[in-house]
Amino acid sequence: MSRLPVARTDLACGLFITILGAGALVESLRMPRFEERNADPFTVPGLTPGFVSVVLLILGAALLLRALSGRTATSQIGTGVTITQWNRGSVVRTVLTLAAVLTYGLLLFGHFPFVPVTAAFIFAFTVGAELIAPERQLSLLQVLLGAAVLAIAGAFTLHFVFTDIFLVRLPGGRWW
Amino acid sequence: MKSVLVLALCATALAPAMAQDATAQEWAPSEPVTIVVPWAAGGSTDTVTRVVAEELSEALGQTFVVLNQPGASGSVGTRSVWEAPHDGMMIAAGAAIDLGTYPVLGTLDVPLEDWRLYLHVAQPSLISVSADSDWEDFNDLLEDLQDGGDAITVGSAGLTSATAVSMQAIESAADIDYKQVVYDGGNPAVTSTVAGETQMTAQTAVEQVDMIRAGRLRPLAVMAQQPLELEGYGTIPAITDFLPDAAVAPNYFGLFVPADAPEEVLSSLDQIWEEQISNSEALKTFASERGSLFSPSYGEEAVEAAMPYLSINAWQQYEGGAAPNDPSEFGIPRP
Amino acid sequence: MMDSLTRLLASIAEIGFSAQIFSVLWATLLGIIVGMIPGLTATLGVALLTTLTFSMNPNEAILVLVCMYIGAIYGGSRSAILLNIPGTPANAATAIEGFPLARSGRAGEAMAIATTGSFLGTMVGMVALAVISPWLAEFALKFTSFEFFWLAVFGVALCGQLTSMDDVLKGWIAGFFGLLISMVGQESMHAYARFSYGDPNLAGGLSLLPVLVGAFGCAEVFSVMRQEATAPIKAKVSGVIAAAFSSLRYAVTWLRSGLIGTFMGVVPGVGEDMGAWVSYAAARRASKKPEEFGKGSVEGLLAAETGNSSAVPGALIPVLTLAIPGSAPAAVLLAAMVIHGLRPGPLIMIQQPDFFYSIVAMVFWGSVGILVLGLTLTRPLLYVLRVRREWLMAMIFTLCVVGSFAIAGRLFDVQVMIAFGLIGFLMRETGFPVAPMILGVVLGPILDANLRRSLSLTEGNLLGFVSRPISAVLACIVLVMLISGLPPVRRWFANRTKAMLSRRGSDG
Repeated sequence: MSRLPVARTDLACGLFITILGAGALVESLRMPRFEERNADPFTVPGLTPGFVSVVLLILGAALLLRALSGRTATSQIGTGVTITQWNRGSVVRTVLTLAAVLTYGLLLFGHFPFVPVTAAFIFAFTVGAELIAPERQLSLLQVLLGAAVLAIAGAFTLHFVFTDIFLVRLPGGRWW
Repeated sequence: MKSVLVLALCATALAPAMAQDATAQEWAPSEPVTIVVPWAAGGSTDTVTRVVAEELSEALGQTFVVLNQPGASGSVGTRSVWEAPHDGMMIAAGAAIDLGTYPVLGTLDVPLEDWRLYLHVAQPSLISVSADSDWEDFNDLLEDLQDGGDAITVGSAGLTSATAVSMQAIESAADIDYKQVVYDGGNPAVTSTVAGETQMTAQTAVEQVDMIRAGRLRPLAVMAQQPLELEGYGTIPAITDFLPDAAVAPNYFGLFVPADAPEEVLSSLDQIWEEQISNSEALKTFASERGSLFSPSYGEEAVEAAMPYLSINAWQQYEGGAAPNDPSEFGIPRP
Repeated sequence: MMDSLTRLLASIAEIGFSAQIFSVLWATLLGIIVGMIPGLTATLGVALLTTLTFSMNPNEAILVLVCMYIGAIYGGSRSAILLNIPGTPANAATAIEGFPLARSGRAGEAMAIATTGSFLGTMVGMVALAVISPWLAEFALKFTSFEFFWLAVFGVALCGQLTSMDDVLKGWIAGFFGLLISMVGQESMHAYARFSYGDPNLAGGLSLLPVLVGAFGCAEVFSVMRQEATAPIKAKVSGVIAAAFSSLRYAVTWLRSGLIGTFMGVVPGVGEDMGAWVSYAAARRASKKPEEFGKGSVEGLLAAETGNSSAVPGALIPVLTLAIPGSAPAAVLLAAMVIHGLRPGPLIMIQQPDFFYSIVAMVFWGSVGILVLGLTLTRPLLYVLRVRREWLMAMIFTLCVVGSFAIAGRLFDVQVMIAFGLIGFLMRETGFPVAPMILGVVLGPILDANLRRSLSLTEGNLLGFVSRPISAVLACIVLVMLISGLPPVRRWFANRTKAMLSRRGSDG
């Protein structure tokens, strides 16, 4: 693994953290002091966030400087930076995952009955992921059938466990 | 193993249903009803609400589940009840004072009259000091509060807490100097007085009873017009014995249902309050053990009962600058 | 003394030789299931069962709740090891060591070690509960705002150590980022909603649980799908019992972790999470093989699980002797005792000594329950590892969604979970450890309230922070930790050790 892309990643992260720290510091300073309520100046809301942001700012700047000097962390098991190593397969799988997860988690769950949308999500995700997997050994029919069974069994099991055992009211109304 | 477990759970859940015979209630919820406690599990609101939930489960033959939704001084949980369908399946719990103060503080724009109140207990505040302190009665403490020396530290649970309201009530009757130290809840505030970090506290009795019975806290006065008989301790004198002008009123706790909920929900709850809750042995025992006053009421009567304490607090908040909105706009008269 | 021992043994026998043993089994099993499901925490489990056990007699109800509590804290280790998703916040440190072990085919061993670790931890805590409860509780009462402040700073100082890549800087950044996250929402002193911009949801704050489930669970789904396909792990099925016994070899580790965990449990409002973190960090520091940490260290796994489980009886100590809860689940347990008309508190040894000893007996049976059920459940759970990701990840994500919804019934929490899934994924990609961020979110409220309260009490006089004996000791520990963590100091120590080793080598 070459060190240059890693240092470049660190540079971007350092910059982001520095800006985040600075932004949070400004926001903390702008928080009210409640002088009109005769508040104790040591209890103002901005005190702790201000302190945390200053440290974050310093740490971000340190990362920035370290990256600028071209150094990265030294360790036998690498730097842990993997963002520099993407290939086509990873991109396709990640895009599929993101699309399925965001659609289900943000748009469907809570707005439609739980069992059908959850079954649909599990089915779509499983079939999609299987179809793009180069190491797939099952036939299309097997995948479709298996995914359908998993989806229906999974959705019903979760519905039963959460509503009947843990008495959680799942959102989205009744499914039947 | 799993089916055994499910059976065991079902048996527990169904037990109240079986105990219930067919006393014709109009409202028959088909699935468990959620009571939202807008504070953390294990707190004083949570504890008493669980006792009430059990009484309701027995009365209606349907489980009442307590759901904790803490955050933003209770307004998060109360808001989610208001934003859910007004079908009686989501009920809010808490103190009437908080419910009435949200619109004044601007945290939830729903006036008190849009809720139907079902109150069960009132929790008086106690002025207490550590058992090691030199203050033997309230007059000793009042003397030091007034002498203008180092400000006496008071353990409090926040702006609208029992301590804040009590201290302002004392301040309105006597010229005192104190420093409020805020903790993350009533119990930590009381503990701080026991541990000696703060010199006194004025939280509710329920948060203090264990320490009082154990001789770690010395209650000097109850913020009420009548003395309080505390089981396992004795009599605590009323604050009005020392400061006749102090504005005091009981702090009521209860359940809150949106007032436009279906008629059968409200009338069933009315009836349960009239018949079961008013005669609940479980609640009576709980109240007397925990230093609370058992005084159920609902509807108009409940609003009337809760209003004095609410108006003291709402106006204190407004005049102190903490609350931006005029309480009279929400039907809260000046005390 | 003999009298207490007889009473304790009588209480243990009373549960063991009656139908109550069945309650132990089903409650512990339910606890393990609650713990394994990301999103269902010990607090939620105990609160739920409080309602369901209403009609039981008080002793049986409390027995069920204690077993649920012990089971849930332990159960979270299962999903941490198998899926890299801590089931409860207390198992986050477990994932750091347990998951790499599972990846290298040692999942059965890891689960066995976590089981014995939890059992031994509960035992250490139980002994403390039975023997020195009143003394420990009085000590915990000496923890005032200053001590809590230093404890929080101590936790923050740990952040640099919770990284598998030895990149201290990134660990600290993640920790302070977590602290900043915890600042969102209404603060306790003036009810001012920080970083909320008028949004009522943000004003309620970002709770720990959706952040945890997102940063570990949801992010794991992304990471797994992004990686190249790997052959399903063939986990060794044999040797589970042997592995369970092998953790006995690390007597120093589990004793130390047990004591640390118990103490973290005793201190009010700190609890199992810190029990695991602190004993994990201590084990790393004391270890002869620190280089294994983050890559599947048995010692680290044992320390984390012993630490969180011993905090359970630890948290019961102030509940029983002061009626002050040591942790969030313990607060619910205390409420349940009150509801059932039991009176824990300073008078317990005088008024109800039998009740006290029956609680100790319940802890004993609960830990026996996790030992028996845990070891039995190890083999069937290994099948999870054989499932290919394409067939597993959709279920995992659904569990994350429902779990983060279940805790408070808010869709906002689901959105927070997904947002932190993305943040956690980006952090992993750019080499930032996620664990310190979680620690930061845990510590943020403690740090914030106690810093401002302490400053207010001393009116800004910093001397007040170190003038009390316990706070002075804590401050010294933090200072030593921070100084020894600085790169130049670390290099100096490394060189010295190397020099010493080579000198010894030339002597021999």
